[in-house]
Amino acid sequence: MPIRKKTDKIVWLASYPKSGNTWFRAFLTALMNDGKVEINSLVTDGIFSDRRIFDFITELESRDLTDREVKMMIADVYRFLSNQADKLNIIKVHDAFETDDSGFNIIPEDATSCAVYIIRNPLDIVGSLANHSVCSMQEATDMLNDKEFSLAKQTGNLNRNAQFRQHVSDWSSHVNSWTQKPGFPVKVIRYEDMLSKPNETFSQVVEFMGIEATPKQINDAIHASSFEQLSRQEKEKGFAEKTRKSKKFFRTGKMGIWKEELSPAQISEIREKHQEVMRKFSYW
Amino acid sequence: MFRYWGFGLNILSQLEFPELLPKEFETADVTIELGTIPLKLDGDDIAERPFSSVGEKEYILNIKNVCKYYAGYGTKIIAEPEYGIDEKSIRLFLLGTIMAAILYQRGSLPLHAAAVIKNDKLIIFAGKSGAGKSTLTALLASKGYDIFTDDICVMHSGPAGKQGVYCTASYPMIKLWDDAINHLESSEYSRDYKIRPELPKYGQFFFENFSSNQLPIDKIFIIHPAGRSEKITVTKLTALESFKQLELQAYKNQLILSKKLRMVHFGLLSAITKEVPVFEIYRPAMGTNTKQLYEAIKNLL
Repeated sequence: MPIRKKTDKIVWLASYPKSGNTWFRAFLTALMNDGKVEINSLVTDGIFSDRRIFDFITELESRDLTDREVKMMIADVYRFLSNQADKLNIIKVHDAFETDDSGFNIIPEDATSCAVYIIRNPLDIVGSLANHSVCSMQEATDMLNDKEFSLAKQTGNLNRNAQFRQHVSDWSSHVNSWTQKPGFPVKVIRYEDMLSKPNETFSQVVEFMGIEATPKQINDAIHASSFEQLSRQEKEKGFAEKTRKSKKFFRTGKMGIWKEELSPAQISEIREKHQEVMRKFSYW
Repeated sequence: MFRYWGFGLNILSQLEFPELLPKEFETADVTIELGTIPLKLDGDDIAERPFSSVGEKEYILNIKNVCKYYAGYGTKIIAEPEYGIDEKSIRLFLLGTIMAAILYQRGSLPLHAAAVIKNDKLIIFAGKSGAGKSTLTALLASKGYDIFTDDICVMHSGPAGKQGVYCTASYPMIKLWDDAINHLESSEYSRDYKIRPELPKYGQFFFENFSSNQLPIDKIFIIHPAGRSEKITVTKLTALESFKQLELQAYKNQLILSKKLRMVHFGLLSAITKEVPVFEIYRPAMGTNTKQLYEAIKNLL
């Protein structure tokens, strides 16, 4: 079994929603688990926005706090967790890398080892986002372009869902926040490279994370976490991370599907808005 | 100074608590005062956490921009509010985490639970916040049950000469979210008393029918809010399963540090699971309303 490096710091798996974060976590699970993956038991250590972790560490009921208050406390929660950890802590996050009302980063840089930022062609995200959120392609396009876009948004600045509100922002701002602002190393991997040259891409990121694994172990994990395998498991057993309304989480797993799904107007809208960042990451 | 009853204790307080039951007494069990509090506790065996310092008999909690609290030896609470903070916020956290610390220091077991009274016995609904305990309790009140407690139910061995486990209420107020009040469709519940200025959650007082007596338990339901099934499921647990599940329902159980206290809880929970039926309810993650929940369990009440 590959060795998870002993460190007291956190590795963030950051991404804009529907960019391959779950797939990557399934790969890591297979890698840590002798090539076996069960989609409802992924081995990574939860999501940054999990209310239960916050409530346990703070000894408070976050339902009695506002989102603003939570954001001012959450960095200390993860500082504490990283100090307590006796193994590599790998935590998923969809929040943009930003500050709380006092100007402090919500992601504690001093408790962080590094981040893996998974990026995907925004044109392909639209269809996935529409499926996940059960909305039209136009509504998903609007989300991608919306600076106020948040996941688990709750009325009145409250915290009543299982997850806290995650301010994602528009696609370009999200990418820029994670690739430009952090004071720790960030490895950017493209969803498209995970698909088209998996061995090279996954090997690089495994090395970056400080996980020791052989090429065979990586290859086995890639096959065990393929779209077909994950999709089959969802069909057989369901997937707890699927939203209540959407029909399935693992939809097509393809790249370039935007050519069939988006209208010319939607394509222009996204390209116009995100041209600079799309060019930077070879999506042009 | 104000004199109250709450959580089975006589409380002498410098702060006014409209939530607690006014009561005259000579000797206070717990005092509440305003003062200054050190940043951390001194001594061995102190667990340092991001916002707290936890010892077996002392506790400090610091809620940024709200208030710092000290709870010591099961008898003393000091609050050091942040400048400009409202009193409701100070009271809300004091009546939750801080009172739990006091109760643990006194050797009690505060269960995260609401309860109603049936034939002088308690039907208890335990579960994490968001499980729907308060709304179900309010619904049962509109069907004729008397509310015993909301959120915290204090468990202890029976009064002199009585076998088994008994419970004491926290205080005569139940907290309901704005949407729960809409759902209940009852004019009995109002939006007069917000529990924090920014929260659409409202205190409903029930001083008139309030019982500060120690009462025995008839049955316990543990509610889980996010089951995988599409229907509400209700299962009677074995004694061993009941023990394991109830242990998890201790309010803020991360404050329990001492082995001695764990042994006291072990005794209480063992006694409960021997004599009291415990049911586990899973509510589908897809969301069910409280009226459906009531329909699913009404024959068991």
